[in-house]
Amino acid sequence: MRNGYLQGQWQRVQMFLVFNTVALPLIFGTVQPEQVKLIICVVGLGIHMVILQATLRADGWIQFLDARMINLEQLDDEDPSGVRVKVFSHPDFAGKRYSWLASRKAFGFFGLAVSAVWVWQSIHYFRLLF
Amino acid sequence: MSRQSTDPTTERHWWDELPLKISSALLYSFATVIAVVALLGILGKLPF
Repeated sequence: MRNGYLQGQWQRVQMFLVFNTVALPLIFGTVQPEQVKLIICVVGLGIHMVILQATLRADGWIQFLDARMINLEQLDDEDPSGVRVKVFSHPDFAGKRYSWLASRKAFGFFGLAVSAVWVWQSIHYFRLLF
Repeated sequence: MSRQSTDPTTERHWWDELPLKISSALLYSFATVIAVVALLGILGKLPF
């Protein structure tokens, strides 16, 4: 389940990157009428925010599943015959996974920066037309 | 000497949830604006 969520999260990141690579040049690089650009901005902003929200929310589930995996690894902690390699409950795991340098955290702030571009363009074309 | 195992929930910082909170606020604001514009449009009271 955890791996499924993890893969799902990165698939959403790819979706986010592909969407913005295709949609943003439609506003900046074409000679479309301003009405069309406003519609693209509003629809693009909506889609962008839904993908961003879905990507960021996956992290909460992965964190929840990490905690459950720790519980699972600690089930037979007291049993001397239950010797095993610890992964999720290893002291270094959380430090690596939840470091401020983790790429998905940078992605969150990058996603917000791209949101600001969509909001700016939507307001720009709205004010231009009305 | 073995160290204590670490629970991910204890490693959280205040800024961990910041992008999600800002993103949620943006998404719900956007949905509200679209709903209000749609409602005004249906009622024929849009100023433009």
